[in-house]
Amino acid sequence: MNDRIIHSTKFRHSEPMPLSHNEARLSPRDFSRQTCTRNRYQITPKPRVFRKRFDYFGNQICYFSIEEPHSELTVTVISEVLVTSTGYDTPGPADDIPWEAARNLLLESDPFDIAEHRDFLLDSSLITASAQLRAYATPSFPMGRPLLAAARDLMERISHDFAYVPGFTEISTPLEEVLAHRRGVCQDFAHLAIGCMRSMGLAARYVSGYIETLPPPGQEKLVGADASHAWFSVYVPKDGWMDFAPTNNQIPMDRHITLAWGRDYADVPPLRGVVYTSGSQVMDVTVDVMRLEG
Amino acid sequence: MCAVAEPAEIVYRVKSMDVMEHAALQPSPRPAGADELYAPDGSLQSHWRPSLASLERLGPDELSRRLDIRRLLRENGVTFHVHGDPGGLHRPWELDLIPWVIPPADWEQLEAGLTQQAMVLDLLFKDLNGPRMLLRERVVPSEAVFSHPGFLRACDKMHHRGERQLVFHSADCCRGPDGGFRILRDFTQSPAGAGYALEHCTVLARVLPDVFGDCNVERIFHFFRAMRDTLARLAPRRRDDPRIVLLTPGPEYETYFEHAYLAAYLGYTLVQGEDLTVRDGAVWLKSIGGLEPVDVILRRVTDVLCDPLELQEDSRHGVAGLVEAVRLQHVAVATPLGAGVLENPALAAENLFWVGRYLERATACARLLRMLATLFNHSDTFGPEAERECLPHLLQALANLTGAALPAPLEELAQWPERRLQSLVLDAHLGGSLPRTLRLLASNAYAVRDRWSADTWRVIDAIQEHAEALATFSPLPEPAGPEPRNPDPLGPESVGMERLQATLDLLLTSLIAFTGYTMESMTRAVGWILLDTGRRMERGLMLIGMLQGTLSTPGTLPAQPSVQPSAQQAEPVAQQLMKMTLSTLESLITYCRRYRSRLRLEQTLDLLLLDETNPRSLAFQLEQLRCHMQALPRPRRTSRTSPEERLALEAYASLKRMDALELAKISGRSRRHEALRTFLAEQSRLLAAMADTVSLSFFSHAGGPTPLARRRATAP
Repeated sequence: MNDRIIHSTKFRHSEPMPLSHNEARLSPRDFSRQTCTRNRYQITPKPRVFRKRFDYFGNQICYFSIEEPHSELTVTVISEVLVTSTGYDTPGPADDIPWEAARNLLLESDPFDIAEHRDFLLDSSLITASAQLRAYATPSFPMGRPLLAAARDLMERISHDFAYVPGFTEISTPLEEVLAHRRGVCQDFAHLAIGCMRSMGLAARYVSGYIETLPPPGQEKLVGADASHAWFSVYVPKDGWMDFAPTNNQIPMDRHITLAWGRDYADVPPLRGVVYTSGSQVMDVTVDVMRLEG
Repeated sequence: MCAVAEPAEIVYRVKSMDVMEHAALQPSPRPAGADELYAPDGSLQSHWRPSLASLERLGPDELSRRLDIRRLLRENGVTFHVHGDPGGLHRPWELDLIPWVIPPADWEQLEAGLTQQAMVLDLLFKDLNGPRMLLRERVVPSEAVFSHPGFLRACDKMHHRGERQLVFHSADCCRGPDGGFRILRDFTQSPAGAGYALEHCTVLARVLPDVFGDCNVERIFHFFRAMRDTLARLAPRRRDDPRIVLLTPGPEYETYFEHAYLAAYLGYTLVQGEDLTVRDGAVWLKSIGGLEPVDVILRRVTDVLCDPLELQEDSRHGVAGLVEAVRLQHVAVATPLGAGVLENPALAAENLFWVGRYLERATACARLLRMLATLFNHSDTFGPEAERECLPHLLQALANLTGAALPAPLEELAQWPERRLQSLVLDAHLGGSLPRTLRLLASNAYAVRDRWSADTWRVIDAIQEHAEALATFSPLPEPAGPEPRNPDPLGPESVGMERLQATLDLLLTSLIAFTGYTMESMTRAVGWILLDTGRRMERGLMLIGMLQGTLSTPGTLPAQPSVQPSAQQAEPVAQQLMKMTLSTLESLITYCRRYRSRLRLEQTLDLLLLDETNPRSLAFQLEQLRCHMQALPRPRRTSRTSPEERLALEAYASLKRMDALELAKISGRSRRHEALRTFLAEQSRLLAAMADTVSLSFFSHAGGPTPLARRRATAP
């Protein structure tokens, strides 16, 4: 499937900012089921420094600085990607490995190609494994259940047990609170699932991206109706990663477009910056995902 | 790192004290070690002769005049600023006027060792922030790096010019019992020390020019010249005349003096984050004349605080865009960002564990001490007999709690208790004394200072103030002989005792506030688990020490008062002692509410030892410890139970088998509570073993330098 994404972010400040330093992760990743064919940043005012590089997790990252007084900053990124429909990073006979075996492999394997994934098993800045998370996860992990079946069950339970309520949580809301109130947004559900997986001794990572929404039958799709999205991915030792999207209760296929991944949201915020101003700011984000013919 | 003797000397003193102190509850004989001053045949070591001879020439009067050195230091502003530490209670950089003379041969050995260590750390840094072959080849377990708070993913694979990346490194060293030097701890993040060494040399040379001159001391300025050259060579451009700045977190930080002193000496501009800005991918100094380019930053700000864009975003000490400027090689930072990964992260965990232990130890000692002060202050209400009978028990308990040996038989002690009180508990120089414990509590709390809020700092400050008040408490002049205690309630010592009681009240309030903070405001991560583990172990040990002193001793406490021949006499005293024990262990109210009767030993023991709902009981501590031992992370999770888990289970199981009636029984022949004594001894052994095992498993740094993680054996 060939898609074009237009992601536009506009900041308005009450006071002009003399200087801002920014970091964007708005370039779709290249990996087995996705190829990025175009990625163009349009930034106003014009940045003094603009530089792309790859971060620790292999995401493309873009640093730019605006060094003239500005009270508005617009970052529009146009990308085109080619997505294949499989949810597997590397297709393989992974469905059959019991989750305990996966856990033991991860914990006890010395070879670095497995051991390096322990980075996604340990606590990260926004996710701390806990007895509560483990307690929530446990029903999905009966003895001997295949790892992917368990992860899928966990995804289904989160999707069933939790209400999608924008505005209830923010980036720093602890998982305990999400768990207690059973509501949040896609980022919370991804974090929750990752916390559950890690509490069971399994490696999981956070994926930031987009989802293409479909208009109701017979209606035109609204401009700007799509959104930034987030889901989680589970590591299957020796085979690779498998994505799960608890917000939609589905295995991400060709409607999910991947931007970046890391241990949690803090590793991959789409756009962050530091400005030196005392004023207040308003942010406005629109995302459009369009299917391209051919 | 630094060609001068002083820093090592100071560190040696501080460290050897801490190491001994940590073992305070299980005193071990001091190992026979190398003697600094004397050769094995008893003669003075030759390298000491010149300095001691010149000190001798000065004579006592002249020497004491020059001993005024502290004043001079103060005038120069040479203080190691510590948050709210007016009395310098835990200032690690004290200057001893008598130098530690290190002969050239020893110094060469130390220098070679430090150089080698610096090279190893440089290689480690380059690998961990580069190819990570040590992880690939399984020399270092990957999770040890991944979970290290100093492993900065944003700074991965950043290098400045030149082969050597880690250009500074400082270390705590000590001389081992075999006479060889050891590195106790490496500092790569913000290596302090050089500025103090410089200042100490300057001051010593001024105060004791004769002694200093006679020793033929190695010159220190070579080091600073090398430092200046090294930093200049790091400059990406304009290496002939680079602008170098020293980045400090500001005057409210403990090493600010050193930053200011070093910057002035080296001719660098002393800056804080807000003085710098990143433009066009480079770093600039904001000055009156406009922006001036910066080539090298001598960094004394913790690396995660250096850039709010890519590192910790709420940092006020950094410069946004700095990491990118380093990445672009437009500026060099020394020591490099990411060097914190080389420091042993287990140390924070260890400090938290000791915060827990000292906090509980201090609280227990303060409570018992207050009980003793109350006994003296209100001897009329207790009655002279109660006082006479109870006092030896309470003093024995106090000796148990402080780990101090009783200097005299109990009977003699009771003759002159205030003096003993002073030597047992209030002397700050004595290991195990309350002021000493409080000082160690403060220095451990200080070592993990980023954990505490401003409110908590106020509490820690208050604790230190009370500690100082205690250390100066002196109830009495030395008596000429073993006179009886002055019975006059208005006598001078009872005034002292009242002041003591009041100080202890204040101290306990502060300790409870600090404990409350650790319970209410710390997240339940590994650090907290270790802190609470320390607390629970210590509370268990203190409880046992208390009971060993009071309730398990012969004769005084009949389980069945009616069958005891001396019941009429002994009972009031026994009641008093039980009451004091319960009160000291914060369980008297609970007892009275629950039983509403006279105190009975089996009920007392049930409440203090076996009742899992009493947060003061041994059962409660063991239950908590059992959970903590399970929750502690393992480098490799295996199905096997860890040794500390096994000990916790053993202690718990042994407790569960116990029955209060059984414990309260008096053994027929010895007329003592044999079952209770055996049980307490066994529990004490298990708790002490648990503490040792936790130390070994989680903070092992015995046996020389431990860079990051021990090498793991790989299968053939």
